[in-house]
Amino acid sequence: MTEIHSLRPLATILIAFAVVGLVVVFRNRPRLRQTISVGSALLTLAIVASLVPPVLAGQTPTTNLGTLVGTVDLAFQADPLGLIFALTVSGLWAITAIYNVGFTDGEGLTDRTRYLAALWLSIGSGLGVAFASNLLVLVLFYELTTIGTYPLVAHYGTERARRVGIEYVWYVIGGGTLVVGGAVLVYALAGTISFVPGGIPELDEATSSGSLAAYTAVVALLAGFAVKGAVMPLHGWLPKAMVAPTTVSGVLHAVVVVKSGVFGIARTVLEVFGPEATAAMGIATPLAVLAGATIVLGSLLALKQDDLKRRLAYSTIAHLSYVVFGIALLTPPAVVGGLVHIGAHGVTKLALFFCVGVLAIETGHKKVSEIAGVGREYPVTMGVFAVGACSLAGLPLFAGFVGKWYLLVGSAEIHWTVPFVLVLSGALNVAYFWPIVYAAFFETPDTADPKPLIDGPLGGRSAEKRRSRDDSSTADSSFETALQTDSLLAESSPTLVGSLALLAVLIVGFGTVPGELAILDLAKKAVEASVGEVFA
Amino acid sequence: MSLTSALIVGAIVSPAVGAGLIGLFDRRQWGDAPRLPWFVATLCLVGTAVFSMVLAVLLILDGPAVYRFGGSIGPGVVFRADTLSVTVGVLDILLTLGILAYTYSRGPHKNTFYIAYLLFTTAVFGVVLSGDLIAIFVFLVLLVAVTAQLIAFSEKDGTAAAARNYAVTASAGAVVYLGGVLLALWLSGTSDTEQLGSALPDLGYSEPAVVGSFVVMTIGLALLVALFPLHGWLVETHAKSLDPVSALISGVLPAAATYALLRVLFDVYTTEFLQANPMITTGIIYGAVGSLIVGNVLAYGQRDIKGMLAYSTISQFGLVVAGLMVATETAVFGSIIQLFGHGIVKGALCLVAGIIAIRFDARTIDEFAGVAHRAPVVAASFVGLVVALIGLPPTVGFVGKWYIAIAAMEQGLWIVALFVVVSTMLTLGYVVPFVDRLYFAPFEGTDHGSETVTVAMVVVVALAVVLSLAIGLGSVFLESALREAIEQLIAAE
Repeated sequence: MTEIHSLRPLATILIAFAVVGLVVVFRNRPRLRQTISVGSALLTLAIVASLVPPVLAGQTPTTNLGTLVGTVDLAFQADPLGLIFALTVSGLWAITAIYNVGFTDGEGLTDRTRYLAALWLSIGSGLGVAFASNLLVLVLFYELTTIGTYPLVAHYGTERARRVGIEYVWYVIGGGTLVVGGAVLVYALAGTISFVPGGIPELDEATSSGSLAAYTAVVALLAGFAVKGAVMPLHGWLPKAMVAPTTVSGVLHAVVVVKSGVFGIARTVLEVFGPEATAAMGIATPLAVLAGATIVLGSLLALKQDDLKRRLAYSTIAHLSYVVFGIALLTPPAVVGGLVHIGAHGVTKLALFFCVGVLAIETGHKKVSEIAGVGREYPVTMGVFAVGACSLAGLPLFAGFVGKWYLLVGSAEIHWTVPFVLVLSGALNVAYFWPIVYAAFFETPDTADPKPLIDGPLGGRSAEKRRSRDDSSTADSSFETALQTDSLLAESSPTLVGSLALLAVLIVGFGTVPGELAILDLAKKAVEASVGEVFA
Repeated sequence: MSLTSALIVGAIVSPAVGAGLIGLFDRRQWGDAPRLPWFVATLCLVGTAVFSMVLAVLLILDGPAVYRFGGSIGPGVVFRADTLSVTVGVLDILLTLGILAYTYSRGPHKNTFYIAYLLFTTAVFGVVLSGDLIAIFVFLVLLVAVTAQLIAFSEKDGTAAAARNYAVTASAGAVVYLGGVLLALWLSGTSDTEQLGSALPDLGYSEPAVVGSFVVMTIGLALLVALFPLHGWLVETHAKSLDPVSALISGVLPAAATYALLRVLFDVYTTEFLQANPMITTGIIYGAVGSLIVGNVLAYGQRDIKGMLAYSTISQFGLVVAGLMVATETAVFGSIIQLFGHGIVKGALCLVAGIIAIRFDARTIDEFAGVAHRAPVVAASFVGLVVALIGLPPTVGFVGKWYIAIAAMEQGLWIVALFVVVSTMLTLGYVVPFVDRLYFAPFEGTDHGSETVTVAMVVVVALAVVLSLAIGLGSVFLESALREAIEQLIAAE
C-alpha cells in the first residue's frame, strides 16, 4: 500500500467541527441551521465516498499534521479498515440528518442548538476515530465522542436521564481511560503506536516473551473498547442510554458510539497486536467465548423487553458481538464477516430505530404490547421494520445475511459446532422480532394477546385476566384517534418516511448486490493485509 | 551588563516600580481618574511580559544565562535564567494580566491591593530567576507576605484570621526551608545553587548532613506546594479569598514553590543524589502519589466549587511532583507542561466561579442548577476547562499526563503510571455532577442580569479554554523550546 498525501480525511472531520460552530452561530435561524446540517452531511458523505476508489486501488490517502506528542503524529489516514467505519458513519449520518429535520419538529425537542451541535461533534469525532492513524489519535477522538454524546443522553433533563447520563460518562470514560492506559503500555513496549496491518512489528518481542506488560496492555485495550462495544459484562450502559431521543439512540447508540468500540477492538487485534500475537497470547479464544455468550444472552434478554427501544438495545448488544466474534475467530472469512456486519448492522438497526421513532411521534406507542394493528395505519413504517427484522435475522437477500454468511463459513473453519451460535442467534432474532411484525399487521388491539416467551406464566394468562389487563391500559385507546392516512407518504412527515424508504432500499441493496457497496471489498482488502487470503 | 541580564532585572523590577508609584500617591489626588492604579499595574505587568518574552526568545537562541551582581565579594546576588524559569514567569504574567482584566470593573480598587498585586509578580519572578538559595528564601517570604495581604481583601467572615493563619503557616514552611539552606551553607560555605551543586559531590551524597539538608529543604517547600499532608492552608485560604486571588493562589503560588523545588532537586542535589538515596526518592514519589489520590478523594466531599477546586489543586501538584521525581527528560517536561496548563485552567476556573457567583449568587453545586440556560458562554467555558482538568485529549491536561505516564513506565515505576491514568477517573467523578447541575437541572436561583458581568471577564475565561487546547495540540513547540534547558537540568555534572 502506498501512502499518498490528501487533505480529504482531515476535511471530513473539519467540516463536522465547523458545522458545530455554525449551528451555534445560527441558533436563531432554525431553517438555515437544518439546511447547513443536511448539506454538510451530504458533503461529508461525498468526500468519504471519493476516498473509496483510491483505497481500493491500494493507496492510503493520509493527512499528516506533524507531531502531536513525543514521536506520535497527529495523522489521519484512509485505510480499508478505517474507511469501512467512515463510510458507515457518514452514510448513515447523511440519512439521519434528513430524518432529524422531521424528528425534531415531531418530537418537539427543546435545546435544539445544543442537541444539533452535540450530534455533529459526535459525528466529527466518530470520523476522527475512523481515520486515526495511531492509538493516541484514536483515543483523542474516542473521548471526544463521549463529550459529544453525554449531553445527548441526558438531553431530556429528567431525573432519570440525568442519572443515566452520569452513569454513561462513568462507563465510557472508564473504558477510554483503560484504552489510554493500554496505549501508554504499548508505547512503552514498542516505542510506536501507529497502526500496522498484521500488528506492530516492534511489539513481537514483548508478546512472544509473554511479558506481563504485554498482557496488561492487550487486556486493557480490549476491555476499554469493549465498554463502548457493549460486550457483556460491560454492556450495562447501553439499554439505559435509551432514555435519549430516538435519533440519538439510532445514530449514536446503534452506529457511531458502539461501532467505535468494536472498531477499536478490530484495530487492536488486527493492527496493533496482530492476529498471530493475539492468538499466541491466548487472548483470542476467551474473547470469542465472551462474544459468543453476549450474542446468545443479548438475544435472550431482548425477548424479555416490552419497551421497543430496549428490545432494540439488547439486539444491538447481541449484534455488536457478531463483529467481535468474527474478529476473535481470526479466520479470514470470519473477520470479513465481522467487519461487513459493522455496516450491515448499522444500516439495519438505524432503520429499526427510525421506525420506532416515527411510531412514538405519530401514535405515542413505545411498547411491544401496544403495537397491535399499527401496521394498517402505518404500512411503510412497519414494512420497513419488517425488512429490518429480516435483515437482522440473517435471511438471504437482506443486508444482515452478507456478514453472517462469511461468519458462518469462517467459524466452520474452526470447528463444525461453532456456527451453531449464529444459527441459534438467528432463531432468537426471529423470536423477538416476529411478534412485533405479526402483531402490527395481523392483529388489532382487541384480538391481541400477550406473547410470553420468557416472561409471564407458562402457557400464557387466562383470557379473563388478559381482558382486565387490557381494560386498564389506556394506551390502546389512542390508537382509535390515530392519524387517518390517505397516501403512503402522508403517514408521517416526508423527511421521516423518505429516510425510512431510503434505508429499506439500502438494506435490500446491501443484501442483493453487496459488491456494489464497497464495504465488502474494503473488508476483504483489510483482512488480506492483516490476516490472510480470504478463501485461499 | 548584557541584554539578558538587563531583561532579568527589568522583569523583576518593573512591577516593584509600579508598586512604588502607586504607593507614592494618595488616592484622593487622583479622584478624577480612579482607575489610574489599575492602568499603572497593567502597564508595569505588560512591561514584565515584554521583558520575559524577549528573554524567552534570547534564551531559546543562546541557551541559559547566569548573571552575577556584586562579583565574587561575599554572597553575591546571582540571577540565572533558562526557558524553564521563563515558563513559570509567563504563567504568572498570563494569570496576573488576565485577572487584572477581570478585576477592572469589580475591583477591589484599593491602592494597597494593586501594590500587593504587583509585588506578587516581583516575588514570583524573584523566586524563579534567583540563583541563590537564600535569595529564593527572601523572595518566598515576600511572596507569602503579599499573598496574605491579598487574602485579607476578601469581605467574608474570618478572612483576617485566615490571612494570619496563612502567613504563619507559610512562613513556617519558608523557615524550615531556610533551615535546610543554612545547613547546606554551613557544610559547603555557599548558598549559590551552582557552587553548592559542585561542592556537594565532594561532601558525599550519602553523608547524613547532606541528606538532612535536602530533606529539610524539601519538607519546607512541600508545604508551600501544598502537598498532602501539608495542604491544609490551601483549602482554607482558597475558601476565604476573593475569586481572582484564589486564581493566583491555586495557579501560581504552588507553581513557584514547585519551581524552587525543581531547582533544589536538579541544580543543587542532581539526579545522582536521587540515585544515591533511593529511599528518599521513593518516599517523595509515594508522598506525591498519595497527594494525588488524597486530593482527588477529598474533592468528592466538596459541595462548594472553591473547595472542590482547592482539593483538585492539591492532587494536581501531587501529579507534577511525582513527574519531577521520575526525573527523566520526558517526565520533567510532562510536569512542566502540567504545571503550566494547570495554572491556566485552574486560574480560569476560579474566575468562572467568580463570574457565576457575581451574577447568580451561586457557590455550591446545588446553586449551580440550570445556570447554563442563562449564561451559555460561561457554562461552555466551564465545561472546556473541566475537560482539561480531567485530562481528556487533546487538552493540555492530557498531554502532561501522557508524558508523565510514558516516562514512569520507561522507568519501571508502573504504580506512578497507574495512578496518573486512574486519576482521570477520580477527577471525572467529582466534576461531572457540577456539569450535570449546570446544564440539566432547572434554573431556580437569582439572576442579577448579564450586565453585572463584563465582556472582559468572559473573554478571559474563553481565552483560557482556547489556550488549554492550543498548548495541548502544540506541546511539541513547547517541548523544543524547553528541551535544552531540561537536558541541562537532568544531566548530572
